[in-house]
Amino acid sequence: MTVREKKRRREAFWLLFPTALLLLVFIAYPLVNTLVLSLQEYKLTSAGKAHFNHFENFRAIIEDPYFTMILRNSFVFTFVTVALQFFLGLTLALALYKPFKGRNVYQAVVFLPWSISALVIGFTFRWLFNAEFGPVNDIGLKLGILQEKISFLGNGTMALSCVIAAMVWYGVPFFGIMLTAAFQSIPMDLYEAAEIDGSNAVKKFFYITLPYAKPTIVLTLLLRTIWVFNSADLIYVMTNGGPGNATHTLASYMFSKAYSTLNFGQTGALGTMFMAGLAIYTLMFMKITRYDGSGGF
Amino acid sequence: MKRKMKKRLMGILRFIILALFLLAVLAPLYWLFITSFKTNAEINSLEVTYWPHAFTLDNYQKLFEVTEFGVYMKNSLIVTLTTAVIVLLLSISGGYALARYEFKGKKAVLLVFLVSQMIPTILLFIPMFAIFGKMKLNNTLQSLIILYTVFNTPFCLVTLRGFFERIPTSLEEAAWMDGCNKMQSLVKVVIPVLFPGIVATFVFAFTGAWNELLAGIMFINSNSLKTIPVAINAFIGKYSIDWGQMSAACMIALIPTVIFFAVVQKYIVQGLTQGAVKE
Amino acid sequence: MRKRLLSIVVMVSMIAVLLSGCGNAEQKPEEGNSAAAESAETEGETGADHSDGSAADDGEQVTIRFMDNMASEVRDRAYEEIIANFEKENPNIKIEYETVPWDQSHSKLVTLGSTGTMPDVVQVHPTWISEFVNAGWIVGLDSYLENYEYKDGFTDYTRNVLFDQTQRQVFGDVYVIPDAILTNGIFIRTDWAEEAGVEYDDWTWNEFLEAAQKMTDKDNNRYGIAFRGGRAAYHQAMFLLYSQTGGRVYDEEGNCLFNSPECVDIFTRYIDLYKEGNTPEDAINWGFAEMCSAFTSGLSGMLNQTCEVIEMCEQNLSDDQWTVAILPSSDADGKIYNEISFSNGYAVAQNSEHKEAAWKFIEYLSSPEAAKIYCKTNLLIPVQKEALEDEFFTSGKMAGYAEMFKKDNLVAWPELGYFAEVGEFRETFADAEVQKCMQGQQTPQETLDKLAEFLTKYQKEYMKENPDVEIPMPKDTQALN
Repeated sequence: MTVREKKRRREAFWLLFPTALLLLVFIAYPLVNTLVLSLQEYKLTSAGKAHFNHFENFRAIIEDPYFTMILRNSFVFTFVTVALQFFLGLTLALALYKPFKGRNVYQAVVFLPWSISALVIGFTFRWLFNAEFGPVNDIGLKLGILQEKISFLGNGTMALSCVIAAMVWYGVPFFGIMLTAAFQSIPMDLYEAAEIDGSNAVKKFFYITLPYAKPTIVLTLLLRTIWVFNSADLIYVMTNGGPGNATHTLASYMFSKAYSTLNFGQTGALGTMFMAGLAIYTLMFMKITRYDGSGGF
Repeated sequence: MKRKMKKRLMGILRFIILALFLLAVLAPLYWLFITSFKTNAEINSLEVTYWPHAFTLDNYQKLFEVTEFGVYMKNSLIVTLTTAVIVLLLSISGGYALARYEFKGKKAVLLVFLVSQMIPTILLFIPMFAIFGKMKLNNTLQSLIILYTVFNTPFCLVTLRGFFERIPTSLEEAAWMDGCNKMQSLVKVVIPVLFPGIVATFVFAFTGAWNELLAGIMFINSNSLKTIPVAINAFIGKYSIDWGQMSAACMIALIPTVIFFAVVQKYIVQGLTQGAVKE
Repeated sequence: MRKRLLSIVVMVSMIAVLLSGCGNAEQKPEEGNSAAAESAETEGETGADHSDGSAADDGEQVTIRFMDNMASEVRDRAYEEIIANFEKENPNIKIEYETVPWDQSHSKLVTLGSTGTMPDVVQVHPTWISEFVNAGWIVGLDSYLENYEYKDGFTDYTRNVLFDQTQRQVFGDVYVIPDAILTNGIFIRTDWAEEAGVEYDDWTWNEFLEAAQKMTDKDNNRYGIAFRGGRAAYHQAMFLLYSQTGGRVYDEEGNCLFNSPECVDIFTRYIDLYKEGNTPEDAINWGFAEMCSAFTSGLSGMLNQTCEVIEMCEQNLSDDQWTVAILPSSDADGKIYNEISFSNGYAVAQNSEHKEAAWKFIEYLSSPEAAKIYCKTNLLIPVQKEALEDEFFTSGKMAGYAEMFKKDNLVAWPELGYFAEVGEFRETFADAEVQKCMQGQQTPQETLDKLAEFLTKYQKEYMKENPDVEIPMPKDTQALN
């Protein structure tokens, strides 16, 4: 190894060191803790009596009569939410691409939902969709779109759609900002060159914009999926998983189970299972998109 | 001629899209806005109103008289700005390292960042409590700053790495030729080019810390150290939700974000359009 | 331009760091305090429980953390007044008042408990007692209670039932001192009742169910009952089930009685109220707040709730529109089965370094003087006889509740059990089953079978492990006053 290489490696080490240290302390410990918990009979109220229980926690989860439904909900919820957030966010970023008068103000306003805490959004949307007091029903009736009041949150499928709607409202700005930033750093001369070649807008989008923004798109999609899969607060607030557990996802189910049973062994097992699931998803996603971490794009 | 027509059609389409987005964003916010000026009786009535019948400023007045909203605002600003700056510094240095250096275990580092996003928050709290207890940081704003930094750095760092990679190395090399050292070339050449990405990351870290609630509730005990989301959440009582005050608090809490977004937006879209760099 | 922004960012961050530094300095005295106290604790641990209290007597300044579980403006006002009075009388004890909203209070306390960082004076909801006691997070208070000035001032119900039957006989000690009594009554729209010809003096549950149908007038957007279908949906059904089991949950062997034919019958008719539209369809999502606004906004005619709702009704309805009726009695045996518990008791945390001072504060919180402030602001029934005699509780809308306590057919129903899984039953399991029944996904029989099966399973396990603890039984209320 040359001296120069050594020096470079040392530089890289020191640049990454603070972050690595922070994550090591604050993430590695909870991570290991989760794995250990998942193998134990561990109740928060009798922490002293914790002992290993031969994958009993995992068995209990799989045997839970609601497990398949909740797993399916999780997939539907995550997929539909992320897909809608992405396509709407992309549309927004494209619409914002060319400057127009008042664009700054427009952006500042359109990105606002993102700065409100999820709980407030949950409560507000619950109110908006309320059949008796909420404006959605009221406007629908007044405009004649609805014939009678609809209990949006009173039926499983519709309730899940409402939660997704709130979630999409919340998340579009994220994609909007990230994609706008990515599009804006595409060098203009690329477009100029394309124009000289006689490319139209669609061609420019597919041959310049998309490839150039690909790393951002891949990364935001990947992380957004993980976050949405992990998010419980909107569901917790809007439906509390009801009616009849029909709107629970793994994350919200875990949340309500953890603090009602205080069985952190089982919570840990559920957490381990869904981290494993997410890890598999991540690896597959990186393979398919060729985002392999070696910077090949 | 045809081209012109098409262009115009595109313009109209764009206008419609932008208008629809604005409407969708504003509708729920408008609801909070008018609620903040309604009396409790009107809020709880069966008749849905779209402009307050009896316009009142009581909710705002009570907000500042009864609660220490100014203190919460200060706490939130301290936590958020400090977090965002630390995250930014960590992300720039880490992202640069990942983009510009080749070393063993780079893939692993990236994987660790991703895995850190997968741990369910509920399983983070108790171990974190133990750590903060050892560090004597329980019930301090510093604990929140550390937490939010941990939550937000991985994404920002990896995003910035993506932005760094798109900048041709030739750009930096040219600067070195001119006698800049690495630090100088980073600050003078690379960062200006990356400005949209950096600002976007900053916005991300800012909002991530600004609207976080659960950790705020769990790790802060003293009323004088509460942040805005925690204060807003306190209007959701066991027996009823104080919608009037809650909406008023939301409206006030939106002001700093609007200002922040308005200032910062400009830099996101400014980007390379100014032609700061030509290869 | 960019340079300027950068410099702004740097400047702002420096200010922020400086400010957070200031915040740190403000807290320093506290930190020092707790560090000193910690070393005191390690010494004290070998000694008796009470030895650590000497600090308070020596006149040394002690800070006690006290957390309110149900943060609200009204409660804040009451507690701030009480704390100010207490600090005036005890200048060497400072109370640091903390609040957490009800929705997050359980998870927060559990986290604090498991990490040994609970506030000195903890509020404990009646349903959490067994959890907290079993975990060893709160300490037994009998030895303190013995010497309490007002120990005989507690009402008989408090002493016989809330201390003896629900705590000493189960856990062998008193762990939680009740703050105030909470019990249910039927809020009813008198004007609607008159129109529909509904009588509500000395009524039974069957008459209640009929009244709900009679008062429903969909064309005028009026519904008979504010049905609770969301969080704690199961709880409203319990009133009807207990009326069919003689106030019992289990037979002698620990078999849950809730799926008996009589229970299934009344539960079916109760669920039918929802299915047949005597309450809006949206009620499947209603929790406490929605139920109450349904009543106060004139959507629903009847509401089974506790006394705190009075204030909300007074704000939104005129006096001649509503009243609080005594809970219906059982059609089977003529008794009124009601839940009579406390709202949120006080306990001393095991990890407290100033247990003596903490107890001193609880003593004051339980005194007639503080009870009057607390109960009047929050509309609750005091546990101290002297406070109960106050005119406030014997006249006006509160009198309806006082009236009920005079009834000799009043019986307080028991807890569902002392096992930890009760928490799961309450928070997640039972509601989901009831909601599935409301949606017609399962029959009432199937629903009650599942509820009974759950309770039977854990009660039997508990009985095996704790053969000495009696099965939960209805409480004698003859001596309430």
